[in-house]
Amino acid sequence: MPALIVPRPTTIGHFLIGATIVIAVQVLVLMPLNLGFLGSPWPYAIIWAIAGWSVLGPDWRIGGLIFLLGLLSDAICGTYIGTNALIYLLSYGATLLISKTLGFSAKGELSESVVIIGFYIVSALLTGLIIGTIPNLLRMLVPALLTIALYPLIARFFVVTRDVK
Amino acid sequence: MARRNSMRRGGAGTGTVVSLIGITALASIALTLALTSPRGAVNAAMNDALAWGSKIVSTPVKWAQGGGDWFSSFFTNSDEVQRLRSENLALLEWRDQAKAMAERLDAYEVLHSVQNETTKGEITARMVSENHGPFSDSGIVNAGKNQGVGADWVVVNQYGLLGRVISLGNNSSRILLLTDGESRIPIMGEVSRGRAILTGDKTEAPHLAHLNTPPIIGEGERILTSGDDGVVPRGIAIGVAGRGPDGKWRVRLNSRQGAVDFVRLVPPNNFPPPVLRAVAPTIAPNAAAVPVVNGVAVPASSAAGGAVLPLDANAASIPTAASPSAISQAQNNRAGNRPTQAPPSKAKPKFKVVVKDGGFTPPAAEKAPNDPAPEPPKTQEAPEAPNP
Repeated sequence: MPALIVPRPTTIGHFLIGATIVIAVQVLVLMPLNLGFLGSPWPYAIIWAIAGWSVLGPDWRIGGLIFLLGLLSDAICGTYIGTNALIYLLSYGATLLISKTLGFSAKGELSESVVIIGFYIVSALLTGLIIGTIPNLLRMLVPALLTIALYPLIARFFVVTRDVK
Repeated sequence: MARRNSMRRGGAGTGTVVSLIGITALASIALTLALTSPRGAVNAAMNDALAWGSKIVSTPVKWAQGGGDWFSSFFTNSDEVQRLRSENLALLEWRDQAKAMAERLDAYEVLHSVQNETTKGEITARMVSENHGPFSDSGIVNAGKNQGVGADWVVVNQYGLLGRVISLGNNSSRILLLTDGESRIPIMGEVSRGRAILTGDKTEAPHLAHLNTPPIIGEGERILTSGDDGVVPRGIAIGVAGRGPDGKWRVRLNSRQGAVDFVRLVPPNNFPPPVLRAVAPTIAPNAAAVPVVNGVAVPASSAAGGAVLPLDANAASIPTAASPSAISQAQNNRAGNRPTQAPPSKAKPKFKVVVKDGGFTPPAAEKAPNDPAPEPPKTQEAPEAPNP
């Protein structure tokens, strides 16, 4: 890439930009937009962050950031504090596991986001079973589809890359 | 491909192990919080910040809704005016009838010394945010502690009940909507007076639990709050009952007829619980054991608190497990067979009397009305009549 064009952001820059996008989308949940039985349409921005940040492998700082974003989501949505944090961390853990084993690079962003959405839904079901509140899966449909559809467009803000020396 | 230049750090080094332990610890903290924290457990400052953010992000939606209404009014104005005129005529008739009925109701309540449930200190606010996620259905209104709102206040809009307040900020409150999985509201049918619990299940139409068996709430019947919990005021409209596609009784909510904007926050009744503990009634073990109060035999039905059928001649005609139509038929028969009211002096005592100490004890119904109040019923063995 020519150096005169926009420089590639650093890893910290990626984290900052990614976290800002996630928070902005989470705040959009406050908008009183309702699709009837399909619920709110806003995408799960945390999936993009998990997909992009999991490239670095297990990192407790990323885990901490995801945990904080989960707590913020709980405060915004009015769920039990910790519910979304647990879902996010479970999804992150599952993504780390599978990305190390299978690797996503050959399959592209679309399939990557599909797999992580799958983890997210399973994590939500598991968390719902633990806390005794089964989630409405129908309400996860539109956000999940939007997350998958938008990820190829927005992945460049999340995918953390390091120069191979 | 975005990942082409990426490099996976990790392996089985110390950093990886530390990171995995850290992530597991965070997940454990999240789990503990989720299991122990109460619903909507964010502090007042956070709640207010969310309300402030909601005002900003919801403004475009409100504008869009207003603009849509304004635009569509061009095409529907004449029809709408005609419809409203005819509706207004009908409503004027209803208004007169309602006024007359309200006056009669007031008079009856005074006559019978009815303990009225009046609501005081209602507050009007605006719903600035709604969230319909897979785990929760909640909203935020722009009134909180500073405006006098408290926990469990009931939220209604122009159509009916919306939910109740679960957490408070200084200038905002979070509302648990009726559709949330944890919402439970005692309700009744407007006509049948059948009771049930409106149970949210994260669908648009919450279902009815603990219905009468067989259910006496009818298809299309209006559903109101019953006030049986002592918290939600009685008689607030909720919606219309009907069977859902899954066969469950559900309620189509009135409050979802239009966009939720301005709402009214109504203080809860919060009736104090009774101080004295209820004592389990004792039923006479045999025919000889008859409760006696002030020397007067008390029928078993009143002593046992309804455990025994009343000693009414027609009581046996009520079917115990029958359809609602059969029950209403039996009630009509009873009403038809009931004799016209006789003078009190000729009325027969409805319960049997016992001979005590060789003398005749008059029934309580024939006692003078200004007699002192009887003591609580005491069960004791009736003494045998002396042999002549």
